[in-house]
Amino acid sequence: VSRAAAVLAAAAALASAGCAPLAAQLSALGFAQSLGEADLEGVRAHSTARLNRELWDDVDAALVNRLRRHKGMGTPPESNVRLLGTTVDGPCAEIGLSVEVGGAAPMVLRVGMAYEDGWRVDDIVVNPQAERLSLRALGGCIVAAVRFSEGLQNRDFDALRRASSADLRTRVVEEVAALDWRWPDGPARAAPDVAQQGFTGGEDAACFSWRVGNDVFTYRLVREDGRWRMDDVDGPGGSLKLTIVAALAAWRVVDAVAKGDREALREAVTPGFHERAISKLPEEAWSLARAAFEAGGGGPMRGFGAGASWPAVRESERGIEIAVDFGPHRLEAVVAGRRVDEVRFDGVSVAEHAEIFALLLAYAQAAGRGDREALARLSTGALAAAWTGMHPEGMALVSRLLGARRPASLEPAAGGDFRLDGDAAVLTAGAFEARLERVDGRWRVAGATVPLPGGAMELAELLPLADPLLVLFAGVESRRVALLREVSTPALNAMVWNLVEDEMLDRAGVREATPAAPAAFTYAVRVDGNAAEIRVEADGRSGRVRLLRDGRWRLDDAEWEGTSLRRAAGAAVAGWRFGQALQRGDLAALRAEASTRLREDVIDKVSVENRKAAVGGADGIDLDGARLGRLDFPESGPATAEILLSRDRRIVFHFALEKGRYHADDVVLHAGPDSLSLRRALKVGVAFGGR
Amino acid sequence: MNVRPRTALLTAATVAVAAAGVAFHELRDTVSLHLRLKAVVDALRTGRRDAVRDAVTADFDRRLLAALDDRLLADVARALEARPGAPAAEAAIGEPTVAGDVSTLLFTSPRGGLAFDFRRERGEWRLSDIRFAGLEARRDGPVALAVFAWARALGEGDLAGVRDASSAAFAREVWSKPGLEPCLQRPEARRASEAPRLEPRPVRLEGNAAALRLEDATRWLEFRCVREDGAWKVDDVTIAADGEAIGLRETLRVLLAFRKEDK
Repeated sequence: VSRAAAVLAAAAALASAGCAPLAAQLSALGFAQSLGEADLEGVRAHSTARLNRELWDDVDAALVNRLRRHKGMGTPPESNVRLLGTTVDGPCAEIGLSVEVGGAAPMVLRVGMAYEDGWRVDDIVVNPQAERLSLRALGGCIVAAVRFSEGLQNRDFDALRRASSADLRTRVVEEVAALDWRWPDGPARAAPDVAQQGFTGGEDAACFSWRVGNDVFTYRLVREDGRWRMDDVDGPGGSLKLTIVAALAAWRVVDAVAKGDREALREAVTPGFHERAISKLPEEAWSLARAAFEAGGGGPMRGFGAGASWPAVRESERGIEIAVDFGPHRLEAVVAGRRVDEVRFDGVSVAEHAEIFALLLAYAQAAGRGDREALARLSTGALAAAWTGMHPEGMALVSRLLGARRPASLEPAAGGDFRLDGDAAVLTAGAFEARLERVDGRWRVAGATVPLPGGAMELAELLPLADPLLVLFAGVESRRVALLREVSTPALNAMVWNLVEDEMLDRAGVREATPAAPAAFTYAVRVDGNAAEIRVEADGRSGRVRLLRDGRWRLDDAEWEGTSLRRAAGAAVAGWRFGQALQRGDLAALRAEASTRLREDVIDKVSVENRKAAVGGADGIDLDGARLGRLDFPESGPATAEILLSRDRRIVFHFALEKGRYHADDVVLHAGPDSLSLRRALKVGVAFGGR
Repeated sequence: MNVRPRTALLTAATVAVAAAGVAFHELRDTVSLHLRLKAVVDALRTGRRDAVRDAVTADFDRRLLAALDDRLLADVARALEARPGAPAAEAAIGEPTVAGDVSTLLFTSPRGGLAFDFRRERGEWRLSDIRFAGLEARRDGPVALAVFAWARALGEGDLAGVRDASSAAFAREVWSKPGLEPCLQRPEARRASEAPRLEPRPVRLEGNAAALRLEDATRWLEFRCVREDGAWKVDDVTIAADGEAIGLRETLRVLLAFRKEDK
């Protein structure tokens, strides 16, 4: 028979003998002794069913020792305890005690007893006149807090469920358990220090706070179904419950996006937010977002990311407002219920971002398709006009060059910065700057500054300059002379393009004189009135393109590795034309290709019969297997072009510059060390009557 | 590319025949008009070498007649036969100057003067030389005849003849190459008789090399010959007009290199 049972039996005997006060006192003493000896069985035996339910049922030996350290819960042996009085009122009794420990002021305890098959302790209130600290509530709360804390540390969701209020359980614990989510590091993991607590409690709600460094943490508990349970922790950032609720809501959005699950996303946000922001995101945003998640470590994020501040959270009439700082940026969200109702990035609503992102994406896509109309539509002012003025072939090249790149490179987050101020926004990435403006409620690109080696330049200025260059590349690559004629000055046309047919472009050395693979180049642009020069460089090779403005920019010449396209191609073209005229026996063409001197001194002096015989007999030159050799074309004056027929046979054309183009002035046949000037031979022949 | 060989050949042929025209037409006219030359002319007319040899000095015979092959001799005879008779009205034969065994007979015509030198040999006046515009038959004749033989063969499209009349190098580099026959056989090549009239210059002799130049105010032709095995052969022809010149050999080498290959 335990001592508690003996005490209880004695008390029962006293009670039945009508000595209720004494019986109550004896039972209270037994309670105190059991507690002092950490005899849980004894403590439970001396406690009412309510006290056991609210406190002792969930207490084990370890916990009882912690509880005993609390003020009023254990009385050290050296304390001086004095009975103040006992009142019995039916099945209830109250015992007043004064406890003095050391020289401290005496502490008044009022022990509430209830008769349940004997007198048993129902509660002990410390300092009933002042703080009215109920040990039943305090103990119950400490037990719930400790169990909650242990559940967190052990990832024991059953323990968490038992220790949590219905609200915390359904809004947080069950959600977290279902997601197997990692708990955020933070105050929730710090075990409550019972010794430092400041406790206030009522019948159904209580809280206790303690300080860690400068931060005060407050545990809020509620009594549900007669038991104390954790409901929330208030930390420096606000309510942990709200924080996690908001974080979960945000996570559901992120997870839905990462999984590409639009239905889940629709569920994760409020209908209003869906309408305002999500529905405005372009289709491609899905794949881009997924790619971004995959690039950022793969899969949806679990819990709070590193590098972010502890979220600050508060409740408002809109719902939970949560803010997280990471680096210089601030992400804010409003969660209504469990759904995200608004997300703001650096103070700008994601709905706004969605619109701007949609614009940039549409822009990049239009550029990728070479759709100048769309680009003009998405632009304003001079930039719109510049796009409209682009040549379709130039746009086609733009499209091809951009085709290899991800439009995501235009994303504002890609190492750039984004500032929004009312109806204007500026997007920067390095030295690149795009300016956006809202016109009639729609975002448009108003301009862009493009960094170039020679200094930054406005896109609206750059496009009309780049256009002829792009068309040149396109025309040379696709062998379409008509394109080249369109974008060239009359001088370049007269010297080269007007004299050449598509199939002759390659043989005329145009490719060699044109910088190819424009994507690989860096460009520097210099504009001087109606003349402009674009310097291109790649792999240590360089060239320049000269443009002249005559209503619009036109290509006047291009130089690659010091070779002038105009003169090189001009000489080559003139050589081929003369050679072909000879080969065809086309007398009229021969005259047209000849210089005045050659025509007047030689060709026109030969009799018609002999001229015909001459051109008709020129079947020894087989130009089909020939290729272009060395070209020599000084800045001004005569030029030469060499056509190589075989290893030791070549034809050198000498040209005179007449009427803005090269005309053959002589044709010299070379065979090994021997040479023969046809002009000289014919001239001598004419002089000797060989008409 | 056949035009340029043709033109060049045409020119060369023209020039060669012009030289021949100068040498022989003038000779024919003059010889036929002088009484003292009648014997020579008559002998030439026979086309018989022994008869001609009898009318000239041994030296003339050795130097000139030896170079005159039988065909050439027959050509001369035919030319004289075609125009027999008295001297042209405008021509005049001067009085001979006689100094011992040497005599000179001057003959003038609108085309210039000819001097016939005679030497008494073996008891008769025998033709020892013919001088014309600085040319001396005895001295220049062998070169001129070689040029004539070359030009005639060219004019007739006789490739073997051209090869024979050319130096070994010229023949090897040009005339032995395939592809020349078509241009040699063109009718234009035969129109050598329409050759321009050019004045011959004295032959320049330097050892085994000689140059015969024919010229007028703006044009000149120079046949460069070399002596191979004692006979003069045409080695190259320079054709020039208005200060520009082309070398026939190099020209033909280039044109041969550029001729269309027979596939």
